[in-house]
Amino acid sequence: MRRDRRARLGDRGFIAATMIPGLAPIFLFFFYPVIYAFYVSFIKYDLTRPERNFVGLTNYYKVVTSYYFWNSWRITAEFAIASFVLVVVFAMLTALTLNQAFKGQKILQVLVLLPWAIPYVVGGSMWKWIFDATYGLLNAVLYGLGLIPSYQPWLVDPTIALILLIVAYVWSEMPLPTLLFLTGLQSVPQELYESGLVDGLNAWQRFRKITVTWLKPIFLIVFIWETLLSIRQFDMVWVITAGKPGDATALISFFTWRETFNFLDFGRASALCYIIVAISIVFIYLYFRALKMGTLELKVR
Amino acid sequence: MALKGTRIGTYIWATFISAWILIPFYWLVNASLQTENQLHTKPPAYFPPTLIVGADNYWFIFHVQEVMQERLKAGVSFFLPSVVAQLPAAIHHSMIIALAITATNIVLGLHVAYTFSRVKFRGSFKLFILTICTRLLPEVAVIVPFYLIIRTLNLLDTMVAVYLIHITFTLPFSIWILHNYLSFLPEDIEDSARVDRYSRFEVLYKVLLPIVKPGIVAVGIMSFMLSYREFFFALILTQTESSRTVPVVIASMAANPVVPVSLLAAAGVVASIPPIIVIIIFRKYIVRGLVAGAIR
Repeated sequence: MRRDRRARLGDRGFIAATMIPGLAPIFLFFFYPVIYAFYVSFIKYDLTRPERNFVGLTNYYKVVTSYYFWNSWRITAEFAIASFVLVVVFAMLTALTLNQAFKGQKILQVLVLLPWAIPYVVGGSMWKWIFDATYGLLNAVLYGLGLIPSYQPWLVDPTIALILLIVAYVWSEMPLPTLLFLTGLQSVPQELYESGLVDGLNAWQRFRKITVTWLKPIFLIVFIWETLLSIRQFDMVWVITAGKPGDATALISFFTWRETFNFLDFGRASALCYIIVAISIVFIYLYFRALKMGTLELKVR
Repeated sequence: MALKGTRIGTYIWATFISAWILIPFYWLVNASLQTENQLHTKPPAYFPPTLIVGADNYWFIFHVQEVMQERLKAGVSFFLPSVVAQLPAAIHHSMIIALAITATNIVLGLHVAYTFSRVKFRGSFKLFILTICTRLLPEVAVIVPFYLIIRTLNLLDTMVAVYLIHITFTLPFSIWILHNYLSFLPEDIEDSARVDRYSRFEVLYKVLLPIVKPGIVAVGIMSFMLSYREFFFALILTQTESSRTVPVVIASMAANPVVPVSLLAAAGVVASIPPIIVIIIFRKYIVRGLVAGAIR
């Protein structure tokens, strides 16, 4: 009994010694700011003016009634859905490929990680040069194939600018979903395929009924993950389009950053942030639910 | 289970996806090996026309002052934004920050993950969920107050500020990965050590450390990479050459229309070299880290 108590006291010291240094930065520089932002979202906090008055929901009201706010969410949603679809198709096919034995498999295994290794801003600069209106590779190829009569300033058109931003983003974002699908594929029990063969299913039916069903939780995780990443995406927007033309490519994180540091109205910016946090929390909750879903046993090679 | 059709399909897609990944990057390398005049031609040069001359770009970005003075002496005057000269310092800053982040994540991540997975105390699970939640919240959520805190502490435009924010978003990730690692290990290994009156720290460092080494390597590499590529916070917190990191310098070059594309491309290739070396050497750990970080 006495020894037990001593052990427990020792544990208490150990908990303090490990948890305090580890969690202090997270709490001080993450939770404290999050709570502080909540407070700031209810006051008038203009960096250029001295007064700090409580203004109730005014900041939220201003944000929600602005046209730009809804516009930015609409663009973010379009971006999220389009990039999810493209990423899933590319990642799934690549994972299926990597799941086969073929010559050059080792090389492709390293290659799929390349876009992840390259910082977003470098990837962004690279694509920006490819999309260039006067000397870009995209123009050269399309013109060479006779598909366009002359070089086009692609990033001037609102729709095309968003599409090209998605293309660049999909390039960067493919590695993780590829690995997730590959891990999922490697965990499909062989018996399922064997019984599928016995039932006389053809390759496509086996893929649809066995593989896709088995990977359902992964599709869900990738969807939520990509949505959260779209809400957070900032780097590529900043480098490739800077939100232009107009506000056509101003995804929500970029929009918030610009609102914050252009107008220095921190009260309104915090209200804006809080709306983003609230929406993200819904997705984070779904994410944890998705993680628990199914009993999938994932082998990590 | 493989059919004849899938064999051909495998090669077709493997070729396509390799091209999709490599061509854009090749285009960056190609641009970095040409002079500015060679870049401004229609149609573009698909291979560097004068490789040796083009390679000067790499010399240039590391010796901007010297080259500028030489050209001034030769009577050639041209304007170059100051950001072009900031790459060497930025590499220095990024490396210091990323290595400090790596070390901190390994030590603190291991401690916290061990306590969460092995030492029982009240509220442990709730605290754990709260901790790992942070890595999923959007960065913009904390930017206003974080900026104000850093300003109050007088740390704007310092590497310390970047280090502090990088810790807050890499550490939850490391805790999560190592926690997964530890919870898969059977507890009897430690129980026998506990009977031998090992303290918690002894158990952690003498018994568990050798076993979780792969997890530690994964965590170290992941946090290095996350810190090295981080742009958003670095952009807001660093303003001058004294603390700017690589992504901030590259992005500022990309945003400035006066900066020669050839130099930007060379800087981009240089910035990509450390992470490319890392993925080649540590591919397995990265795959493990990425997958474990996302799904378990």
